[in-house]
Amino acid sequence: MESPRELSSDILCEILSRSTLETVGRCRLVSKDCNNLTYEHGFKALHHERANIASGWFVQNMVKCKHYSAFVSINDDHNNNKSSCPKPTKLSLDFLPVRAAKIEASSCQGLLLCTNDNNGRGIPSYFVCKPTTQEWERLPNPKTRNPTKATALMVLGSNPLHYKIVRLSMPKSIPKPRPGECGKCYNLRLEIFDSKLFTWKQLPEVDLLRPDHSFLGSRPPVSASGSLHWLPHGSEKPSIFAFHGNNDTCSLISLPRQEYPPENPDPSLKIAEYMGKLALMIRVDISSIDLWVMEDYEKRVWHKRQTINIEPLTRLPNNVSLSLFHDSEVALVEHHCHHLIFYNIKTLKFDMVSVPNRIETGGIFPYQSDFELCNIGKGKGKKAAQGWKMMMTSLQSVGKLFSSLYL
Amino acid sequence: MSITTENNEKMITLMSSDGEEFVVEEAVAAQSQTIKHLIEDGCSTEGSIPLPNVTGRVLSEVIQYCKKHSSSDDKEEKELEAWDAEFVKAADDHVALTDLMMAANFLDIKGLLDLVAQTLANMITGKSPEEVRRMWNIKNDFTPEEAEKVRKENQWAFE
Repeated sequence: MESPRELSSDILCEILSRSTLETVGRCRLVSKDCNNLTYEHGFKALHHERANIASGWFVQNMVKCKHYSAFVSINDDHNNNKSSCPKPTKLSLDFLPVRAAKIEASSCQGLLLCTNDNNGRGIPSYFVCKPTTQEWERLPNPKTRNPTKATALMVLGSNPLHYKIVRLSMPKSIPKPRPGECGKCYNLRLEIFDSKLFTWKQLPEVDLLRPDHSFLGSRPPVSASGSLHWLPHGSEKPSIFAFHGNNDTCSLISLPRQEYPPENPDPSLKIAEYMGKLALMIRVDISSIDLWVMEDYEKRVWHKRQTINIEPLTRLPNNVSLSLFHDSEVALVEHHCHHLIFYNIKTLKFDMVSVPNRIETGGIFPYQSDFELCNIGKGKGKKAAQGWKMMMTSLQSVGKLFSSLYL
Repeated sequence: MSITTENNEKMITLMSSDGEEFVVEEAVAAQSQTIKHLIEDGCSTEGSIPLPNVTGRVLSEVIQYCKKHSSSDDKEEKELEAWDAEFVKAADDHVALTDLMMAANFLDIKGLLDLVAQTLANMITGKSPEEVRRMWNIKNDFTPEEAEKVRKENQWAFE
């Protein structure tokens, strides 16, 4: 065999853009160039088209107490000439055995978590599904006595598929503080569903200081570095609440030391995922945002990556800001209307895609998936059927016992 | 210099980096956008077209592909697909395929680039980062700590 050839980044892009999501994920570890390439806007667009990847957002809103969702892809409107891959835009949740399923959480590895929650009435059933293949499975119910504060989903392995669901709840009534105790200490209850064990498990309660009622916010958590992140609201000294999927532990992450604009502390801070890492966006003034990236997750080292000029966005009605990143260049604009707005932080240009319904707060779920079967919902049905069969056999034998007693 | 065959086909000569000459019909060579533009710019009238990035061994394979695909308008797509599959199989390993892909990239032959790139993409499916590095002599420029971070960011793809 001859000596291997050195690859130019063009050639690497040609090969990787035809590879599966898992292969691209693994190849990020090949080299720094390779890692950066996979987050480039141009690469992502090619990859989604060539490898047939659905990539975009499920947008959800509520009409008359019912949830409606639609899938919107970044290539929908402004790339009509490239409509060779029409599949992704047709994604819907109609295949689920419930009507008007509510999306609770999404992942960029193909899975969604849905419930049949009708505005808090009754005990909701939980479903994990893969909309691209229309596979689904129903999970056992968690203990829903305490109202849910947040639900999240994370995929930890692809072969075999391994996911975890985190449910955060809080007691309805807050116990009165005992003398000498801090009066604003809330207990947060965490329940974890592990697909390997197919059962819920409760973790020790977490004490959180002074969160208000909607303290975890209505936005879906940010998944980065194998952890889930929420930025609690209503705190004078904000810090990020993190759940670490590998060892089922929680921690609080401090924000970079910087002067926050005092007049408007909350909405000016947003967390996002940027190139696989946890990122923080700080609105420093009307037309600029500082982008901080956690370069070292273990040591919690923040690094200010750049100041993003959002001057062109100030021409839009309302005071809009960036919400999350699609790739290293394009960000989604937080804007509650009938459009999704994408902003390119390099070219400073924005683009719009229309959405069937008005988007509600927290109703945007980033989603990415291939069209390969992931084998959820298999085996468990069988197990349940076996259980049913066993129960019937034992009932029959009990019946026989009774009839023999009577005779 | 252009020669004309009895079928009135215009012939042109391509010269590889190692000096090998290939006489092919213009319609065959023009599947390469790069060559097509060179012909249009009048570069083929004086002798042969030099292709400094492509060796004779690779160029002969490229020509084989172009010949098949230029004469196959009326053939069934399935037959052509089967031929393509045999063609990449014959290229044998990733080194030969990479050479072919680099030539397809330089010569701008979309069909061939698609075919070879997809074959290589299938080859790296399921391979570890270290195996991918070895395939193309890619230097691992991550420190062990950095590598661990990237692995964590993409954990789902490794398990």
